[in-house]
Amino acid sequence: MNVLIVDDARLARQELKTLLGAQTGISSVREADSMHSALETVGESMPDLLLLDIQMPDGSGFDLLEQLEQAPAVVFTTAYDQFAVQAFEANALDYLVKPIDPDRLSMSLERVRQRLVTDQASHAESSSARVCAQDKVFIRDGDRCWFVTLHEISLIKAAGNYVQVSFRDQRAILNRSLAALEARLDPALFYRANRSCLVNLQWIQNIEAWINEGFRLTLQDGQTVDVSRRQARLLRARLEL
Amino acid sequence: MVSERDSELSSEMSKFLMRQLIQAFFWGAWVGLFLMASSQTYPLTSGAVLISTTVGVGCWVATELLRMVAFRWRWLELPAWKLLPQVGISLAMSAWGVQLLVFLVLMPVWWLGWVTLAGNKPDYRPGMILLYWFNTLFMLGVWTAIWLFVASRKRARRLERQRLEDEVKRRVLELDSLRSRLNPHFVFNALNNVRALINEDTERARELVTRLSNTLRYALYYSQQGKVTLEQEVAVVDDYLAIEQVHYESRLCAVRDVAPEALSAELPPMLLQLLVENAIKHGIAQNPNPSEVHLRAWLADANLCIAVSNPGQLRKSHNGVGLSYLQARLKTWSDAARFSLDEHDGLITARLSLPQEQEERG
Repeated sequence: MNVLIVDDARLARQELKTLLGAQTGISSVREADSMHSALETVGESMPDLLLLDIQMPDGSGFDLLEQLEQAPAVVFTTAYDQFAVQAFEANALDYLVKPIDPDRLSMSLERVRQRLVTDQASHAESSSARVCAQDKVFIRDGDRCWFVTLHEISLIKAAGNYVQVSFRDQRAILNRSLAALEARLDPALFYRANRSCLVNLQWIQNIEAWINEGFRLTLQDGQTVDVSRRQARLLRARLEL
Repeated sequence: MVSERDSELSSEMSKFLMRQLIQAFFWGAWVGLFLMASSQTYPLTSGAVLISTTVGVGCWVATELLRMVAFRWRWLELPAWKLLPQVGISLAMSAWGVQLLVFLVLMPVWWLGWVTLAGNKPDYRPGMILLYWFNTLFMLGVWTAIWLFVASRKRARRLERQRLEDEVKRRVLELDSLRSRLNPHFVFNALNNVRALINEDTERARELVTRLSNTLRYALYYSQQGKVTLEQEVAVVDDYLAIEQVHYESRLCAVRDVAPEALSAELPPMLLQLLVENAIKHGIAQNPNPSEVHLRAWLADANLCIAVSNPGQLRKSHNGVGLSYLQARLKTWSDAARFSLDEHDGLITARLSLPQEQEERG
């Protein structure tokens, strides 16, 4: 397993390296002392696991995750702060409090290992370069954050310069444009229903004929989306496949 | 806001109306009883009805005025020996006032022949005047005694509620102070660093444990005291800075500049540390480059002056637990104690000015 430690304090990284040295199955350990150096390191090669401190001088651990194309397995490490509980709710794999208990660390690594195995199995099915259905993305809206697998997202709706993402009965506002998101998402999964909506095809429950030769889609979570005439033709073609 | 003021106004209004209702009932009952009683001995005349009704209305007005006087002169807060003469004089004058009103109403009406009287003419012999006056005085006295009793009970309840509210506020403040004394983020980071140092540099690890112990002991025990000397406070800040130095390494550069004559000055415990803690939190922790925390202390005109500066920008939402604790702590020290926070050329400076040579309150 390739691990990247992100922490601004040298001694904290040193301590984590010592702890990891006593664990089995760790193939490489890299370090980054800031959000920016972490971004660079991730750019070189994606680690299997991020051991991520939350407070750093040039941006928080959450800021880092927000800038990653797709979220790797993440375990937060923190001395103490209110973010810790939050990170757990964010569905990160785990969080560890410093000083870290070695037994607690090996439990956490075991959990990551299991995640990696299931992820690899699902990745083998699709070889798309884009973000695929099993990939996780990090979503943050104000103080709340989530790791969300793409198939959990039902609808992405443009709202001014922002988009509203619906998933697991939650809604979050993201500071991205719809076009930028669409470019990153797998077109086999997400379909542009009209100027302002991206719909997850797997979430469509019902299709009705609607005015102007369009459609009205009802999603499994109860939301409805109107499809314009031009896009309706595309949808028909898509569903005939 | 508007609706709040409206409801306050309407509640004032309903209280006023309620009081007037009670007044009308009280004096109405008195007039009724008086007429009933006097009709046993004398035939009931229109003059007697006019006189007692005027007395009732006069007493009603007089007691409203007495109530205003009571609030103006703070009767409820006075000790008995001051209260009794004030009440006595006010009652005597009010009783004369009521009798004067009766005289002014009765004489023209009688002279015009509109009312009849038992003796065919008003009885204003000196002895009778004194009797009328005393009668009125007695009624006003009864009213005032009842009012003083009810009002002081109400006031006692209000004071009790106020006391409890203050108590709750004090407890909340204490909790805040505990939280700011034992910052868990600091403690656990320090422990984590000790763990790393045990492998790397045993001597430094041992030193760190000592310094951490000093800081914790100070936070737990000495901070309970009303005041400490600057020398004590600086010593613990030194320990604190040394611990943070281990954590931030070259990123933290602490400069201390304390005038020797200021060392014996006194201040509430933990204030200096709080300022240094804030400086590190906002100046060092959020800055990837090495930066300086500058601590200065000196005496000026019997004031202990402290300035702690760090690079950074002041944010509008810059108001944590620590600063509210600091403000509250300063208030109990002296009204002349000052605290300010300003930003100049990318440098945030916290300034503290504490008057010396005064007894601490509360």
